[in-house]
Amino acid sequence: MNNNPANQDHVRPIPPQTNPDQLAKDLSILCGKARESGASDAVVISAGDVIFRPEIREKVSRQDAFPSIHWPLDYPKDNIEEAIRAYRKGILFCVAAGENLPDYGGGPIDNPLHRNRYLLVYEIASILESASFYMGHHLAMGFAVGNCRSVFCPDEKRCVPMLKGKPCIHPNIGRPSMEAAGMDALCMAENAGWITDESRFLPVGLVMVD
Amino acid sequence: MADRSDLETLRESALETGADKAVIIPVSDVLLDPRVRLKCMIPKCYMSGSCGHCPPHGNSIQEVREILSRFRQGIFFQVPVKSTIIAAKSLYKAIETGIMDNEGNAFNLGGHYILVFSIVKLLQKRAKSMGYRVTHGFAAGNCRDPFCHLQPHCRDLMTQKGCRHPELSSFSMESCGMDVFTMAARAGWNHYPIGGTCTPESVPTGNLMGLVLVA
Repeated sequence: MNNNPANQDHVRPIPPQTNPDQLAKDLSILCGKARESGASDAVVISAGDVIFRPEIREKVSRQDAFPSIHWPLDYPKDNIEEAIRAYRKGILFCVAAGENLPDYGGGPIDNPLHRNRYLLVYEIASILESASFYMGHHLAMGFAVGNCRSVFCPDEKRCVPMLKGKPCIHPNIGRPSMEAAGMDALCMAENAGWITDESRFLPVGLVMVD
Repeated sequence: MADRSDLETLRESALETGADKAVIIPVSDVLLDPRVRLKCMIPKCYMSGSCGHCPPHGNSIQEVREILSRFRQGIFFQVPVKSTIIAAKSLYKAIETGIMDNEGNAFNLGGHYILVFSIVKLLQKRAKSMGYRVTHGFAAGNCRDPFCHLQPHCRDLMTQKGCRHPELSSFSMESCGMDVFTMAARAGWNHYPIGGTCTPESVPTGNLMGLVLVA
C-alpha cells in the first residue's frame, strides 16, 4: 500500500492568489500522474461538472449493513456540496474494472482481486491529493469509491472512529467515496466520455484541486 | 471600534511574547472557506472526532460568520517553527504511534503550539485590561495534544464536565473554517504546506498562526 505517494523535493509556498496558468500546468501534470499510477483515464473537470443527487446519498444511507465513518458520510455542521462548489477544478479518473467487477456498494468485498481494484482508486486519490497539496493547492480533497471499511478494515468488528473519541486506523489513505458524498459518479463518468453500462461497474475517483 | 493605537499595542505585545510577525487586519480579511473544516475530515486527521474543538465538532461556518460579524478588526500573528522540528521524520512517527520521539521533536512542537495558545490568551487579557470587554481568540491545531496528551480522552467531548483547560484552550483558526494558509500568504508571509512526507530539506520553515478579534 502506498502511503508515501508524492515526491516532496520541491514544495511550493502557498500563493496569495491562484495563478490560472500555473493551475492549468499543475492539472496537466496531475492527469499524467493519475495515469502513471494506474488510472485508465483522467480528465480535468470544473466544480460545476460535479453532479450531486440526493437519491445517491439516500441509497448509501439505506446500505447500512457495514457502516463506517465514511459510509454514509454524515457531517451535520458542514455542507459537502457547498465545499465542492468552492473549488474551481478537479481531476476525475477511472481504473479498468475487469469483466466481473460488481458494484459492492457499501458492503464487504470478499474477492481480493476486486478489493485491489477498489484499493487502486484510493491510492490514486491519495497520490493526486498529496501531490496537489505540495504544489501549493493546500485544500485539495480526494474522493474514492465504495466504503473504505470494505477495502481497509474488512476484518475489524467495527469502524474504529465510529467510537466517540477514537481516530481512524488508516488516516492517510481512508477517505469517503464520491457516492457517499452524494455525487453521481456514473453520470460524471459518462459525461467524461467513458463507456459505462449496468453490467460493468466502473470504479471512479475524484480529486478537487483548487 | 478599537482604537488604532491600542491595536498597535496589542500587535507589539504579540511580537514581545513570541510571535515573529503580527499584523492588524480588518475582519473582512479573515477568509472563511467551507473546504477548510472538511480538510480536517477528508482525509481524516488523527484528531478529527477526538477533540471537542476539532471538526466535526466545534463551530459551523455559519456560527463563525456570526462571531465575525460582531468584530471589526483583529491581530493576526505567526510563530515560526524550524523545519528540522515540524518536518522531522520522527515527528510523524510520534503522531502515528502516540509515543514521544527520542529526538524531542513532538515535545518541542507541542511547546510551539502552547506558545500560540498563550499569545492568544495574553492578547485577549491585555485587550480586556484596555477596556475592550469583548474579544475572541483562535489558536492553531488541536488543543488536546499540547494540553491533554497524557489524558485518556478529551473531557469536553466525552463527559459533561467540560474542558480541563478552558483558561488556555481555544478553537483553532482552521477548525473554524478559516483559510489560514492563504491569509498568511496575503499578509506577505511565506508559508509552506507541510505534511507527513515532507523533509526538513524541502521546506525552509514552518509557521503556526493565531488570531485575536477585538470589538
